[in-house]
Amino acid sequence: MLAKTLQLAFHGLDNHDEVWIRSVFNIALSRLKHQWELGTQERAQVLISYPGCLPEIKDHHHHLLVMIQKDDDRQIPGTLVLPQPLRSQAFLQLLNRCGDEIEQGTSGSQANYRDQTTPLEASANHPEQTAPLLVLPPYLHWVNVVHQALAAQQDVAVLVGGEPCYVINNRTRRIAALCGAVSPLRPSYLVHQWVNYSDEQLQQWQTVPYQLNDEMLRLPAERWWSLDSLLWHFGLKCALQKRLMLPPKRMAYRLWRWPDFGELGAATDEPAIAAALSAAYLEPQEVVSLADTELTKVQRFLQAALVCNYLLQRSGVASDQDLDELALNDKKTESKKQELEQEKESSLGILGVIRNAFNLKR
Amino acid sequence: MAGNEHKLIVSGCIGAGKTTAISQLSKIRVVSTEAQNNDIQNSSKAQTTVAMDYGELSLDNGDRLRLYGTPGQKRFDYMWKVMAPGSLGVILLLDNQRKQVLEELQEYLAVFQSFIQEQRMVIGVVRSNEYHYPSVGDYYAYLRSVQLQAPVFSIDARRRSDIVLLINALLSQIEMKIKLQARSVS
Repeated sequence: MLAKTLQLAFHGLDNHDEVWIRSVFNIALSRLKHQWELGTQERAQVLISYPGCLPEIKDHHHHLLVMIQKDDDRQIPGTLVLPQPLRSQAFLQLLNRCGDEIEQGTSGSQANYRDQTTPLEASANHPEQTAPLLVLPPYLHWVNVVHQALAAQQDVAVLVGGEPCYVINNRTRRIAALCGAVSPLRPSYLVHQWVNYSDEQLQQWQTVPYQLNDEMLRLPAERWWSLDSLLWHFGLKCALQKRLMLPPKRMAYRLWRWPDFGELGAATDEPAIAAALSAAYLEPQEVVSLADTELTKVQRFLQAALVCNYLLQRSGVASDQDLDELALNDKKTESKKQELEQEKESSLGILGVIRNAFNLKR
Repeated sequence: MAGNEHKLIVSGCIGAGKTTAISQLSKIRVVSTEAQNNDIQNSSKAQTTVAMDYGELSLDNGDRLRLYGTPGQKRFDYMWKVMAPGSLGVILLLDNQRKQVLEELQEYLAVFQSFIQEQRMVIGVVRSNEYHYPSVGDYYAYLRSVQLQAPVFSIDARRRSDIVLLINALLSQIEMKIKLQARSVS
């Protein structure tokens, strides 16, 4: 184990990547194999940058260089790769590897970090972290491609009739319509328009990576709408038309993120549905019982969440594994169970009284 | 006999609207410890909370819900730790106008980690309409990267309905945890 503290520095990183790295670094310090701190470029043993910045780095042979780059970018000899999009487990594993290499004096090695799949890196691919896309019906294939492109941090255009009709800014997750540009369309009208397209028409929409030009970026703020909000309302409307495939009965779902009810507005019971679905993998009927609501509401919620790519799913009956995680570990006697039941009733009673104070009684 | 007391914490960075949020909920005039803001570098507010804000509601069963707002400045972070224990949950307000907002989130997560792990925290992001980055999706990506989970909403602290939404989400989370725990032992 190295006695001295290793230093990490950055060169030329954009604000997003630098903030991300600083944040994860500070939180995960105690989980690293070696002692690390953030340092200056001159003194750091490890320097994180982009391939495009390499010519600017003075004395780069003195550093162990880590390049942030996409999986399909060519690796620069003598550097390690931190794949984009950034993931905490991959970053921590990279720092451990850097520490090992410095310790062993082998920092000149040209091993490709990505070639080393270890249990840690494998865990970074767990659905909870990566939120894999669920299969949408063919008429929503374009939505799937939008999600894929955004996950790869690309701006995209949606082509209608072969022409770019909508552009999406990956950084802000906002969408602007290029068609109908003279009089900006209202979001609700846009959703209405989308819903009125036939399945065949929607199936022909294409999504392609797109470089937003200055003119587009200068579009007034009122021309950019929240993509998530549009997709949510589109999903709800499709569900109302019974257009989407309903979730199979024996499928369990879990929310990896809540819809932004601050932007969408929420019916009183929607936070309860979201809370149930984010606590464990559940079948729709279980959500009905836990959230004390109706099946149609749960199904509509699920379908909108599906279109927004907020859901994880698992086949078969929801196992009690998730629930066990929440349970106390000791064996419960009958009297203990009764005690817990009373505690539950009492706690729920208090929460109900607080709900009343805010007119939130369901 | 006096009823029971329950405590709710509203925390977050300077200028995020904590005092405003408590004013939206409290049935009494909010007790505020405002002083001249000497931290102009971090916020252009003329006055800021230096000890705490306090508001309360009387509940139907005679209990009282006490609302505490923490001071926003980092130098008062010891107050965050003093005020949190025993509270029902934490409402965290973040200001998207601030450049280091994700770093600030990290500081709050360190202090309130137990609350977030027990699903007793919700996050409201203010000024996301004017400042689109970080997006709500970015906050979730960040939370996932540190293996934590909490609801994040873009809100306006001046709108009572937005603050009530945060309360609704917080109560829903706590209720669900209780129900699922009870189900798993029965």
